[in-house]
Amino acid sequence: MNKLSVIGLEADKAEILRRLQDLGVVEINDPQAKLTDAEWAAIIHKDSDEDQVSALEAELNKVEIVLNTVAKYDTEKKPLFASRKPMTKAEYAKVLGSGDSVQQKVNELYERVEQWNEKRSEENVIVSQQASLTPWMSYELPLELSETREVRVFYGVIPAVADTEALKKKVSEASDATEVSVLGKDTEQQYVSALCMRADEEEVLDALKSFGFTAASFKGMKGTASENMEKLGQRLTQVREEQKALEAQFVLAPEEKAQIQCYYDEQVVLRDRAKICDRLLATKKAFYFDGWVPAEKQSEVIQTLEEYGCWSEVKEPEKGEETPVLMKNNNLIYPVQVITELYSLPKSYEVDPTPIFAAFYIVFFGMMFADIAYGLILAGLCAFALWKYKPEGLAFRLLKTLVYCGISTAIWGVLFGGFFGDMIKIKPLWMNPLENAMFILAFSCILGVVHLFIGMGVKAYMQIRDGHLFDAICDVFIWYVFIIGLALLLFGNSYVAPGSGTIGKYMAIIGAVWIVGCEFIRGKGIGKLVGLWNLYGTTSYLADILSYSRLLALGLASAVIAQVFNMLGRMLGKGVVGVIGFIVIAVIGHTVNFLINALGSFVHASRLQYVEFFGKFYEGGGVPYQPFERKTKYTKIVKEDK
Amino acid sequence: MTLGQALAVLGAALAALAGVGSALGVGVAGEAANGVVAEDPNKFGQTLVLQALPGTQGIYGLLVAFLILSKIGLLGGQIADVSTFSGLALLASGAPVGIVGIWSGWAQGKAAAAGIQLIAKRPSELAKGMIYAAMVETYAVLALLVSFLMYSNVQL
Repeated sequence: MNKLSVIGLEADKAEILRRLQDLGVVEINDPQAKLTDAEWAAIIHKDSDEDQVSALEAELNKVEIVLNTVAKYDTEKKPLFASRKPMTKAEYAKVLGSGDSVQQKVNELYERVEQWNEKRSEENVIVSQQASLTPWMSYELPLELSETREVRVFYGVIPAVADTEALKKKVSEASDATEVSVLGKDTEQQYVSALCMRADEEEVLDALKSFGFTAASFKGMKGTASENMEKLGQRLTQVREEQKALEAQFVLAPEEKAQIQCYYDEQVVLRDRAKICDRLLATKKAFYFDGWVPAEKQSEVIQTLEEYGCWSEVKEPEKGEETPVLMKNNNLIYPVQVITELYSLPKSYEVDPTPIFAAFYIVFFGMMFADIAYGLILAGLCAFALWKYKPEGLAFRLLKTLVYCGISTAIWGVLFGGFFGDMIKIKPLWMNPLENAMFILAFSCILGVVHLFIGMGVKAYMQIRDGHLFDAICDVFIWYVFIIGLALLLFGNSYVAPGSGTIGKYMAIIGAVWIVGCEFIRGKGIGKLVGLWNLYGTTSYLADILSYSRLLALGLASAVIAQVFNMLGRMLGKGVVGVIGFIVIAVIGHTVNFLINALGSFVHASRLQYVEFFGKFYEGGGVPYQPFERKTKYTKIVKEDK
Repeated sequence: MTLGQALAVLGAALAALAGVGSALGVGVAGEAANGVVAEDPNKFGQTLVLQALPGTQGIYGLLVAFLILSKIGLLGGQIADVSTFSGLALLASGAPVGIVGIWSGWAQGKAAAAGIQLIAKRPSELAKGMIYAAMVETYAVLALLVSFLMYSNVQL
């Protein structure tokens, strides 16, 4: 990753930015530091194109709403992974046309969406009006009628608990000529109407109010409740039909949809280009920016810049300077990067751990899952998804890694002899872990020691590279001696070779003395005694090594649970019922076992890298390389076939 | 049935108690998942992965229970002759996975629930949430291993 600085003419700016975006390899830095530097601040100002950005944002928002609405009425099946459609530049330009006709189409559709929304809220209003009218259906007077020449009309609600007989009595006491009727009742209130002479209006109203009467009103409604209900019903049907008519217009032909998607991508590209101006520094006639470019791409960039007569300079980063991180691995290992990415990117001066642990990851996964059938299913499903959906980025890497893991699982299945557990008895090529648990346990721990030693080796490599040979000896190499010595001391005589225990004893003693002693040489003050504490670190190595016992335990778990389901299935006996029962139990059981153990193997294989392996040397925390590029959602430009 | 056989069956029962931990754990994680999915239904898949993690303890318990039951021949076939001390040893071999499973399943469920909260805010950090939850599972795995080694070395 090299540092690039560029000065160009303002007049060519738009064109230069377009070319850089198409190249998609330059990361442009935020110039904040330069703006606060007095020397720079005197001659330049921050460039920006905010009006353009906000105009494009608004347009994008519109297209997004249209696309979301269209997607709701889209009958085409949605793929599992969103993948971008590959197009050549010419095809893209052809679909997009001048952009005007698509823009018009988008505007039209957007208007329809708004109309649909209006209809929708009208529908809601009508439905709620209908609900409030329903209790009044038996009220026969026009709703707007409140009085005649002599008579006053009240209608409204009283609480459900109010005693209507008492109410009627009280009202008739207040005035002779009254008519109170109860129209209905629900859990909360009762619906009543009352007629009285205008002369007695106040007394009657007081009587009503003493029972908690509240007048109801239907503003804007004329005629009786049932007349209004009918009108609303008609309007509702009409509004719903109008919605249907609009919805029919949201069903787009595939070409139209593709066109709008291209338009969306184009707006995103334009928006990003307008936005990147924020990172440029400008004088009246010129602009400046700096950023990062991967070394192998820089000639391409410089060539482009020179076409426009720009001044440019490429420098290697200074020692210890943080640069954005782009991991580079060959095609085979590249997918396993996903495991590193899920943890954290390496710092720019760190070693990329992917090629070192990739093989271990795949082996560990296979050992914990170990079944021929499961492995083939996993590899097959993921390979199919890769072929069918052509995912990019993280999904691609994850699926490809799982293909590797599936193959490894099948190989371990052959070694351990498992096909859906013991559905078909297969003679293990190596040994059956159920019968040789102690041996596989030891094997797991030895595999762990190798894994850990490699991790420590990377640390030693980095220390030696940075000129700290003595630290590498104290922190890594002497631990090799000490741990191997301890292992030989404990197991050497009985398992390796008679007499190797004695060699182990001396190795362990030399190791222990050195570990304590080296702190007297490099430590200062009280730090000289740290060696004793370091020796206590043996326990952490012990814990790390024993952690690999999960390779055996999870391998056993997936094998034995598969056997359990087979056994349950076989319990149903022979005959038609037995066979059907066996198939049902086997399908459900093995699906569950497959999912749980695939997940478990993935997580625990990752954990062994993250906790045990990375713990030995890896720091992480690198900043990902984010080039200025076409960040499109639906299409991607590919080079034309020649 | 002899005392030895009964003790072995008790051991299988004890091992299967690991399911208590898983039930608690999956339940706690499920509660958290409901809350997150209420806000964003698209997170169903991610939250389900985390919710499934504390389910393994119950499976380890089932595994050991099954092994013990099939060793003494209780599942079909002839029930084997189990001496009292062999039965006691099989009872002991069910204990680690059963007892550790209860607490590790529960604790893992709480870690998974917190992981679900994590992906509510940062969906891209699913892997980290999973690793935190898996750290707890280590101890269930170790208990399973101990149970298995005890089981496989007990002679009837």
